[in-house]
Amino acid sequence: MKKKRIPKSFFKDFSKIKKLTSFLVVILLCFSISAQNLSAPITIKKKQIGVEEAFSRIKSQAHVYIMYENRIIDKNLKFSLNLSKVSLMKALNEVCSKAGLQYEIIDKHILIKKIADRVRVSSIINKPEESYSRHNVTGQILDETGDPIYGAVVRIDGKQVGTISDSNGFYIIYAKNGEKLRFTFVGMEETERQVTDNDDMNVTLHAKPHLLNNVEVVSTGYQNLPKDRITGSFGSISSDELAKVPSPNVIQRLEGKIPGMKITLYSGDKTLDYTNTLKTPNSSTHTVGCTEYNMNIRGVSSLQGETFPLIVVDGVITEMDMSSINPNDIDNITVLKDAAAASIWGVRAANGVIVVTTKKGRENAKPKVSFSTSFTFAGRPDINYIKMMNSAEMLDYEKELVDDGIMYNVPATSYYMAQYYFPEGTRLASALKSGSITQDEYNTKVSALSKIDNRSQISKYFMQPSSSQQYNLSVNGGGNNSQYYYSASYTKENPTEKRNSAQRLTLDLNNSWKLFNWVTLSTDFKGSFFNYIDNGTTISSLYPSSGRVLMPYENIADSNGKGISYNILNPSWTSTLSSAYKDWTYNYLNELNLRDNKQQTNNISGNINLSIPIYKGIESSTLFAIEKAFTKVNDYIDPNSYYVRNMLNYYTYPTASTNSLGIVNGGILNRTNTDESNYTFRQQFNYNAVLNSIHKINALAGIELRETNLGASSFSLFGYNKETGYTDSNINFSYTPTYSYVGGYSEDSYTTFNYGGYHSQTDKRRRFISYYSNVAYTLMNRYSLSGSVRYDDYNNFGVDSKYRATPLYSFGTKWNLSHEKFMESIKWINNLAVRLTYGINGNLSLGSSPYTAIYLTTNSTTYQPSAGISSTANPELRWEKNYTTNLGIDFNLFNNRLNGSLDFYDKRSRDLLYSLPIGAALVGTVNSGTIFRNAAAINGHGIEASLSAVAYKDKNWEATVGLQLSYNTNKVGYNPYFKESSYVNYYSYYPAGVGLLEGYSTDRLFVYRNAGLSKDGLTQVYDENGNIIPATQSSITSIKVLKNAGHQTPPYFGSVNLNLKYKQFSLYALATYQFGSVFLRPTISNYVSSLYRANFDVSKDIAKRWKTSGDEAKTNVPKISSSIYSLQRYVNSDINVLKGDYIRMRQISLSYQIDNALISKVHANSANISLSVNNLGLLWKANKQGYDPDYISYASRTYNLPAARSYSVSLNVNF
Amino acid sequence: MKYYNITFILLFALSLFGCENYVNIKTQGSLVPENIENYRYLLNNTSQLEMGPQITDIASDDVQLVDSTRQVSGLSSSDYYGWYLKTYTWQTDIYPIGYYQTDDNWSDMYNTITYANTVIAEVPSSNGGTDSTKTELMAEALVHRADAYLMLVNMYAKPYNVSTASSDLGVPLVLTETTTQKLTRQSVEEVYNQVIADLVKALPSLPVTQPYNTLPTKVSVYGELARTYLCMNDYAKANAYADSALSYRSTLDDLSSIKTLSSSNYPLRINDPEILLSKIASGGVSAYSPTAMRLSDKLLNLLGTKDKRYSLFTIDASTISSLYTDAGGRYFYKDRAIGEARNIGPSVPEMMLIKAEYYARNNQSQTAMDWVNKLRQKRFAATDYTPLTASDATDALKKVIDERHREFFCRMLRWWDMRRLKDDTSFQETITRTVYGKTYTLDPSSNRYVFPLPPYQVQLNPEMIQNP
Repeated sequence: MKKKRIPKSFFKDFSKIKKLTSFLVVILLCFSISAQNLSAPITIKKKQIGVEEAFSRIKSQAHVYIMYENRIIDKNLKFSLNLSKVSLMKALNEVCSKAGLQYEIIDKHILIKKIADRVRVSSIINKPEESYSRHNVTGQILDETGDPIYGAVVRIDGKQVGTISDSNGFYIIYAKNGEKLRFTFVGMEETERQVTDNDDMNVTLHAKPHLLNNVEVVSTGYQNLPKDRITGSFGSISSDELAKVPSPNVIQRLEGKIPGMKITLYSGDKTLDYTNTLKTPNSSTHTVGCTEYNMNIRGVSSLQGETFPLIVVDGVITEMDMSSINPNDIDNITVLKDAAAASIWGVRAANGVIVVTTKKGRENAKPKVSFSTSFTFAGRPDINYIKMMNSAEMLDYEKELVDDGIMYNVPATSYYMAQYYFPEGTRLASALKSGSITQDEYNTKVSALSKIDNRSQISKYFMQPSSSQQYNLSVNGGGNNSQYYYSASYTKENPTEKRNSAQRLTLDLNNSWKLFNWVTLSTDFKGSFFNYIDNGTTISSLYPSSGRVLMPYENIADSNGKGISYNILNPSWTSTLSSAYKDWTYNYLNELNLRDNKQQTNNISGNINLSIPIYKGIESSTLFAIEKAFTKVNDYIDPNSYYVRNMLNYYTYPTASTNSLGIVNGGILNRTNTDESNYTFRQQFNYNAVLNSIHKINALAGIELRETNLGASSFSLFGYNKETGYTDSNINFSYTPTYSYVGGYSEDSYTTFNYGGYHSQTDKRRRFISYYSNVAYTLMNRYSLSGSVRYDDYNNFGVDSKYRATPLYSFGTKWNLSHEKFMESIKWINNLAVRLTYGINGNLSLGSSPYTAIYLTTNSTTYQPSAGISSTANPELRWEKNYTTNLGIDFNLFNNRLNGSLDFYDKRSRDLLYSLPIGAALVGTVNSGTIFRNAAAINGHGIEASLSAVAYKDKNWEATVGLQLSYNTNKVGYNPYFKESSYVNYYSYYPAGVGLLEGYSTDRLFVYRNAGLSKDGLTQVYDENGNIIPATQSSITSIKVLKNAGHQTPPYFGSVNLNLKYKQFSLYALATYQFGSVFLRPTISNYVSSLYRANFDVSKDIAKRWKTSGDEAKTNVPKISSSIYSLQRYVNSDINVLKGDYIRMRQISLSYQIDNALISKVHANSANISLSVNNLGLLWKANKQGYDPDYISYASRTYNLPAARSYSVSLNVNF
Repeated sequence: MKYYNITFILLFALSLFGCENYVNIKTQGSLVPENIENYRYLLNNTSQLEMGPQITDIASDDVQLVDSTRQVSGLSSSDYYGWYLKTYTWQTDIYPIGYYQTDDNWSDMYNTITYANTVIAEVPSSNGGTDSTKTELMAEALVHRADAYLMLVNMYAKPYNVSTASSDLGVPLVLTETTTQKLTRQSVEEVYNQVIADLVKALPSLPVTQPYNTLPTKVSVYGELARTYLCMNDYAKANAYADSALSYRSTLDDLSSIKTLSSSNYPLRINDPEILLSKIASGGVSAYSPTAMRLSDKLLNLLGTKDKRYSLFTIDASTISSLYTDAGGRYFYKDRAIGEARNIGPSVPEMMLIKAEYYARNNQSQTAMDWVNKLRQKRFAATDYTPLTASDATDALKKVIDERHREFFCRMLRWWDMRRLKDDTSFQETITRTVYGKTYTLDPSSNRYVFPLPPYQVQLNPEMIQNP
């Protein structure tokens, strides 16, 4: 696609023109040469045509200046021309060659000269001493990737002699030894070579980095338009820009690249190895990978509808996660931000659209093979980031629990009693309290335990340095009538958790053919195949919010590296059990190897597109695309695992000789399958025309049909033998499986067997039909207007047609000021354009339905088939709507050394779906008394700025700095239920549960005003008047008691990047930043409040708790208490609010373009090697407590470690 | 050019073909109940349609806790049980906005109404089924709706008083499928009229028998009408409908020979011949600590120890919890013994005692006592049974009411009787209770005979006027 890389403008010395104009006749003034001029197809078919007429036709079709001296034109010369849709260069070549002329492009003009220049030169040839030194120099001009450059200018320095390379990059020029040849091409560094005796001179031109940011053609997914003519707000990323980040997942490569697009990475070591890799049919939003990243464009547009941007790959909506795309296959990514840019996508556009265009083959190009590989290594993450109590502190906490009478030893006389078996510290403290051990014995044992710190063992046994490797191979090329791009890649990632890994294989087969010389058929087939292994022990799983918690003084393994077994049940009871029972202890280390959880995900997509030119610029384009995904999870649980042993033991009655389930041997195989199948059919008509040289029209209209199907099933096999692959068929569970169990009074007392993987199958089918149209009109390259309209119909919306027959539309306008005459004189402005757009985008929640919906069940009383209402009739359900106004400015200044854009937008979201409480008298208990309504409104606005500057440049050095700034904020404009005046649930202890209030932003953080502790160690808060509310006052009924601490998502964010180039070396650095947000410091999630809820939290803050009278002067952490008000008002109070501002060094990389001489020995065209350091950590943060605001565990007990610094080496070779 | 045009026309035709109905499919996963069977299934859903109030029994004089015992401290240990003591002490704010704000009694009964309204609104246009099937399904829904409104009006509104019923605030009547209706409270009279209208409308379309007591029959309607008219103090009509009910169903469960109650010797409610329409208290089985109902001395004295309803339906405190032995006493145990929630729907004994009350109030004390004894014969071991006699009509009425107390304790109806009779001087009494040393009183003129509307619901729909 190199031909598209054509200049916006040529910039050279102006003075030449001034000299020339004195004796030249300016034939026509039209427009400067720009991308469209050079790519605009020129058609001239005439048997007898004069030179002047030919030039005249060329200038009117391509809108360029053409200058020549009248005297050089032979007015009598007539020749035949048969040019059909050729480029400007080719047309000029053709005419010049027939007329004995040559041309040169100087700045914004085309200068036609007599070939006599050469004649003049030839007169010099006659000089004998020079005749040997003057000869034809030929060669090929290539770009860095080895692609030939068509249209590069080759000139002899200091002379008006030049030539242009042909479509294969070849040039020929007659030059003299010692003369300098200057090779130039738009967007490329000018290169000089001295002429020697050698006739062959191949040249590689290097791209100017700052210019590559300006992708010239923007794809909306439905059409490609030159950037100049796009009215909407969009951002684009080229493949070169993407290539700077070595991650195998494109998500990481997008961070900090587009203003307004916020990508939050929650996981540094996992790029492909998501925690959540499965889709659930009933989910209303994107869930795959949600633990690893989140992204949004221009903030919140929906409350409970879809919030994820729409992803479009090669023009088709994809339901797949971005991780299924091989980043090396991406040619460019366009992010559509405002209504004019995105509204062509109708009801799916409110969250912005990410349009991914993948690489294609090239016309008339010999096969080009690219190979790249990359290795990434990182250290272990720092487990000390989690602020945990040490052993001594934990033991002290346990002792206090015992002393307060909350915890005590329970004699184990039955299964139920045996469950109250506590960690060693608690047992020792109880023994001391009851007098069964002495104070000395207690002290000795406790001091031994205090010395243990199991963190090094956690790190050693459960964690590993993460690593990943990537290999990528692609080949592309093509002839006159067909082009191809094929690629394959393999990636393997080993994250921090031992026994976890992800592997990905991708394939891409892209072809296009020209049939019968006028029809274009293109096909694309992509596959991505994942293998996940998920057996690791996460830090979070060691500290579950229910179940056994690993105490800081409990080691994983003994000094021999053998795993230590811990009793879950009181051993004084389990030791009395018969041999029918299996070991009932838990061994953390052994468990690691007793699970075999594998997942395979196969994604396949294919599309076929037929483009038929119909009549005068009208083209029909027919697309059929299919996307299939199959996922298979085989989760095998070993018979020796605690899970299986515990299950079998539970279903064994004490006097029985075997378990009552009848499972003799084998483990459990949990199978989950998901099956996804989506298709899109689209019929579209495009109309492209230039009328009377000044009107450019691009119009399209089409119809799109789309269906998505997602099914998920799961089941469990008991007694499955992994080796034989055989399941014990004797185990035949009945409908309501009840079995005798260890807790029964007699062997005849039964309990239900709740096995996890109940056979289930869920399917969801959705259908969409859309009619859409878009018109872009440009007058004289200066004034552009665009409009789009789209009508969507979705099977889950609108009982009442008035709610779904609402078309979504947009308008946009753009003024290219720099193309105005009066701007010509302002030399330092290369480009200046103003955009203004307005439009409506839609959004939907895939989970809602206007009809009464029921679920089928079997009645537990009569065993009759029965049904329940899952949602009541809700006929007023309709699309959410986003009204966006956008004002933008694009500029290129000072010889394109300062480029940027600025956007201001106002986004009003209306009819937002919100699950509102509704009177029980209307809906009973259906959906817990809530109903989905198009009720709420949000008013958002923001600013986006993108700036790139060539800070310094000379022959060897170039420094470019890029800056991106985004500002986004919003306020809830209307919410019929949640008003300040209404008092509702949650104020009393859980401000996060307060609904969205009018006048507050959607991300506000409500907290209490902490008033310290009372004399008895319970949290007090102030009300709005400064009066103290004690923890004993359980009911708080006014919102005013809460304080708005600020935004939880940063209103200001962006990135700074630096590109430094010295000869073949280039250095790239990326820093991201965010300002203006706050977060709640993670602290205690719970206190042990009774024997029955003996769940230990390990938070370091517990050690700072109020213990005795007077401590209220020293600490804010309340005492151990079962009062939810005391603890939660402390947790959610202003003293725990920290600022989220930071500047993060994301990456520094150094790459080296290997010398041509060196690589040509291995027959390569180009090669580069790069080293990068990723996740360098925070350069600065506002909070002084050491928290990384991106790695805060809001949900209690989910411990998220900041990414460790990683190092990558990449090699890229082109043949 | 010819080819171009042909292609163009073909493609254009293709693009429009078959698009009309493309999106007229229903999404899988959430089933839209278009077919008549789906409405049958909805009506089979007893766990949604059977629910009645659970807290009325705690407010009634069936229950009596002993202050400062483990049960009282257990009940006050967590806000989760807040409703229990607040009901027991007749508070004005039983489900305060905040931690546990959902009044299940209100929500569950209106849930029945939501189900009924869905069936009534959607069945006529459903696919399949004959007209008679459709009217029968709608009739079933009408009975459930009527029953729910009768229970609601007897919980959240003043007792029916013919002179003030048209102005006393009842409950909001929601009779259609709506999410937007204003929830203005209709008068008590309007609610009763609606209950009667629904029942009368349903009657002709219902069968005489159904496979399970959870499904309404003609007999259910008679039973509901009898209890409705009793609530309205229209004893003659109540008697007439009780007669109609008994003409179809008059079998009593014989307790005389049962030693220990279990599900093997006592029918489950779906097949219990005594039950005319199964309705249960929404909290499920209550006889667990700390929410078990400790029975009042008054009730225990009334029962005596020989009554099988004493030995089978009540249990010693130690069985509920070993910690409760200090306060002693007896607890309601019938539901836990047979393993299912207590029935509060109309029953054969209820019909008999409605008749007995009618005769007692009409000076036919002997006939009244005959009906009482007919029931009592099945409530004692043969050796312990002695027929009751009445000295006069007043005595007979007192004995009928006492028998109602013995028969219906912990089954909602005692609360209804207390409301119904509170203004009758011969039954009036003032109940006092002490919790943590504080004494609470329920006198006949108290507003606390009417439960407060759930404050959370009033907040959602401020047009509902809260009870005083």
